[in-house]
Amino acid sequence: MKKITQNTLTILFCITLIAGCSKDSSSPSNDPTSIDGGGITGTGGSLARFSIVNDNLYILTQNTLFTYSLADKRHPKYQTSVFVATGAETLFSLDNTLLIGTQNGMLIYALDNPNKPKYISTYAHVRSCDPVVAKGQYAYSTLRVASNCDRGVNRLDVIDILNINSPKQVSSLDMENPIGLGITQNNLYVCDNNKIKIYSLSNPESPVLQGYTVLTGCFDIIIKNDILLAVGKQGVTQFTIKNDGTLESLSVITTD
Amino acid sequence: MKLHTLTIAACFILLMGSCSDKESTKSVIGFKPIYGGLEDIQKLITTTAAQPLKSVGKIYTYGNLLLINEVGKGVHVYDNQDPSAPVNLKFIAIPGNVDVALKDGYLYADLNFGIVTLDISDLDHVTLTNLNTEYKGNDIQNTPSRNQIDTRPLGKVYFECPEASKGTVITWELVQMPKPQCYMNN
Repeated sequence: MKKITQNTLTILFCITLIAGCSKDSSSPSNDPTSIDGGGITGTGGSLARFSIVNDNLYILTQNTLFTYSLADKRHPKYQTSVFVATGAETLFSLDNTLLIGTQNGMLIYALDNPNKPKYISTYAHVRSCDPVVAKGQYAYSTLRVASNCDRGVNRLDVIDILNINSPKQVSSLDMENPIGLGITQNNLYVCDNNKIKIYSLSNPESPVLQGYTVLTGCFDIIIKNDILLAVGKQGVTQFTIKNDGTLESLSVITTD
Repeated sequence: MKLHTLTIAACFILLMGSCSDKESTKSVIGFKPIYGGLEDIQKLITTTAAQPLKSVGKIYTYGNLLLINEVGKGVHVYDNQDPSAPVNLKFIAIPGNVDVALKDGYLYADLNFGIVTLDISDLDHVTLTNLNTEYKGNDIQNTPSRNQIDTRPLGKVYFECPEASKGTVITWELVQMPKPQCYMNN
């Protein structure tokens, strides 16, 4: 009995650690979504641990990446599972790679064999909670201090991933307590301390702050065409992304 | 002297014994593991009319649909064709659910111990087509899930110790029970 209780406590503690972190961390995937046409896939929020790439479903647990084949969509077929890292949090797919946000850095896996993701490299950083999004040759990762991420920092790292074998940081911006983020062709949107901060990506290596929209408890973002969906304390708020990149509130789905 | 020690020891043992007896017969509210297989899970996964949103988890968009996870309980499905006026359509109950992904009308969703595949191309007739159990998320085989524990007052949260021989734990229910041996601190 004592053993069970002790074990469960340990397990619970670990779960709490991860949950605490992933609750607030994020990484959006920007898979194109369309209801008409073949091979329609949805778009996950920046907290996603699930990612569909072509005919495969990738699932990230606290430490392991599971791969399923969706060749038969009705019956996903288990392929492989690989240990990734303890404190794995978010999964983002970009072209033929998976970017995995963990508490100690961003890991890159190649999908040359889509049924068996292969570890390529790590962009290591100080221990922080860190979701990631990417476009083209750059990945954007927010690092933040949370109760379970001691020694953490609050910042936004820009990482050049053109050469996936050796990702390297090209710039870093101080932030307040950044969490989820989303990316468009021209802008980066970051949940940071009850605001959605808007950064210009005219120079993708060095985002420039343009302004912000207040959103209490902002922690997750999805961008779909010209609509930005953000999860905050109130519920889900939808915004139109205007031509200049600023946001105009459209609706709020509030919690009871 | 020796006798004295023995008597004291005996008294102690008796006292302790009576104490723990009393303890174990006391009734508490605790979590009871529900065992089952695919057919039992199928019964728990149901699609109902729209439900109010209580706690927002992860969100997911698919075509004109917006899915909002109700942490640990399932997903709310909204018609989001007009983002200025989303319409709450359905609630799909999936115990333990946190994450979803969708492709070609099939919803893949995690349970505490596996992945279910649901055909949601017709929201009035959502059907379960598969259950994969290789994946383990926040394992509920040993303890109730974190979000269930969180619903209880601070202190000891009792649960009936699961027995692997009884099968796979598919969920945990809160019931009145004789005080079980297992507990977690909340």
